[in-house]
Amino acid sequence: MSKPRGNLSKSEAVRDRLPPAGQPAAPDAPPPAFHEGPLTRLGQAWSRFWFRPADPVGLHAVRMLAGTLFLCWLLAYAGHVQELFGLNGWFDAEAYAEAHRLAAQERAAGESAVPQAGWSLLFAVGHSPAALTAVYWLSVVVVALFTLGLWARLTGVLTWLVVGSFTVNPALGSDADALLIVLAFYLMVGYLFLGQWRRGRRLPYRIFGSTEALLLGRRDDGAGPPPSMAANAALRLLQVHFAIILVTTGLHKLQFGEWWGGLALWFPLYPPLETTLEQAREHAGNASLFLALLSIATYAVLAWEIGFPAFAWRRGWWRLVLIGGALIGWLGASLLYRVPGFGPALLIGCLSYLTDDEWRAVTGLLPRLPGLSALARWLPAVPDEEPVKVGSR
Amino acid sequence: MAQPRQTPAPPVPRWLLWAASVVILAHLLAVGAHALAAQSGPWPTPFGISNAEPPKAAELADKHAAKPYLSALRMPQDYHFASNQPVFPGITFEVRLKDERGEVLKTLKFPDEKANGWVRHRQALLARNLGNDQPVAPRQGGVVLPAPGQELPKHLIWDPLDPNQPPRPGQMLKLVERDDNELISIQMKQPMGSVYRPSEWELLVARAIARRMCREHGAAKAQVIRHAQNPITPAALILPDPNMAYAPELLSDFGDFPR
Repeated sequence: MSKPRGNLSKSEAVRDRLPPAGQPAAPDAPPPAFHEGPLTRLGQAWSRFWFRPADPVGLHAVRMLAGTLFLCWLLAYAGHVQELFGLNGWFDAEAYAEAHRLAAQERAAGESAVPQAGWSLLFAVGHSPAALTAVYWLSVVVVALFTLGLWARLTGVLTWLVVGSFTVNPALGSDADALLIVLAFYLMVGYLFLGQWRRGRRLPYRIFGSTEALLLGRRDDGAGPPPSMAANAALRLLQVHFAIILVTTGLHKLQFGEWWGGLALWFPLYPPLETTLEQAREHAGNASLFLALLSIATYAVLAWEIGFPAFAWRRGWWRLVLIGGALIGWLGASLLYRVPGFGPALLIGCLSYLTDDEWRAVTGLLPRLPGLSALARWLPAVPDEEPVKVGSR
Repeated sequence: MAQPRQTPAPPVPRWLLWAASVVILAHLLAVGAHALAAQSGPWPTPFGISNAEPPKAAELADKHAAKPYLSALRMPQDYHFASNQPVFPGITFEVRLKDERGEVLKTLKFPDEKANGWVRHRQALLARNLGNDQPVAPRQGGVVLPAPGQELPKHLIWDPLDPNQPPRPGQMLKLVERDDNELISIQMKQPMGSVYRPSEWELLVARAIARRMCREHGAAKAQVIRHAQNPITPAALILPDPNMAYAPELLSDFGDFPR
């Protein structure tokens, strides 16, 4: 800590903002527990992975991105709230009751084909169009506050309730909903515990949170936010859950011959009811080449999903595979599969793998962009004496 | 040099880390068990195409712990996404709103071309619920006699197409009720596995759609018609007769549902 600032490397400078070595908050210090016993190394690795205090800038960034997505998702349904979410809508109260009966019959017969609805706050107000509309707009406000980082502990819980409630309809369930609820849940967990271990905090702070998570974390005294074990653990949970999702969906694809045959992407390219035989035969002249390219693309999707855990935590050029793959996935989900929300959620999930250093590098670049210099006071401190080596390990 | 502005947090006690580790491990095991507990397939078996049961350990863990826990967190998904299934018929539906006398007042089509992409996607998902026809299990044996004073049970099936005629564009399937003997007779004339019935879920959704449309537009009843088409297969690129890879659009009439 006594080195002159000008000689500090990027990681050393960042470390300088953290509590002294030996304290649990030091990122590269030995982990706070699991020092002894027969499984010491495994325990240390486990502890380092889950409980290393981290700069919460990553959690804040994922919150802002996910919150923006939740807002777009909610606002897209403005004007269609009754039909999509009301108990007089497409799936009305009678349908819920019938579905419940059908599910009970199937359970008795040892089957489970009927999708089941879980809990939803909307069930309490779904019969009243006025109340449903009020809850909808209140939800928009809550999600907006959470996106900004205001009272994030409380608004995080409410945002999770909102996302859970608006994804309950069993007849309208989208693949993207699964990713939205995962994002909302781990963000809620992160903000519930963020800063709770600090001394001298009052009850309102511990219940509601504060404004210190505003945007990417406030910087009113020139220092960055204190490192947090909760921020790290929440992002790690999101990362591991996300890896499980991608491997599972990749392996699920292998249950279909069209994926093995490298032809799966043909079908969203030429969707039924919209494609004429002439359109489908547009590449008949060079069918072999076209099908070969299609199979390469199909296998690239499979390789990216099934191999995801092998590169998601690697830095350097692997970040191109991670983020590039997510961007291509966004394009595919939007243009080919026409599942809005899935692509952005996929990208945000992949961005959750970025480390503190990488997030600091990204947020450090933001104020240098034209028109964004005003952001500087809202961003965590970034030492600027050395360019950030994103690729270094 | 920038200094931390808060008092450093006190060291976290070891018991808390152990407790957090147990919670994290249990949570992720629940997520993994639930993903593993989904049926796989369909796979070819000596008895035909069938889904395979999940591993027993995952199934038990899921049934007794993971599923209830994840359902409470609103994360009951097993990540076997619907869009993973490549060959799925395209499905839309139309609703013909009628008055008391059966006169058509209005016809509405969904997904609505004028709706934004997110809403249209939800409407497409709704339509997809109507495309889950089930093959009717073949009936064995000869003529069945009903018990004295009783009727034979009736089965709701899609009136099958003539197997000797190729399907025509715009051809409409009707839902019909047939008893066991009629079903045996139909199945004898049809290729194996070509008699279908709507699933209970399909009928449930069709009724819900009709109710909603009647409520919104003040109609006395609503007729729900499904438009479906199997996808054109890649064989269209290489077959000498590409029409072999093409199936025409087929309409299926769920019938009139009262308000």
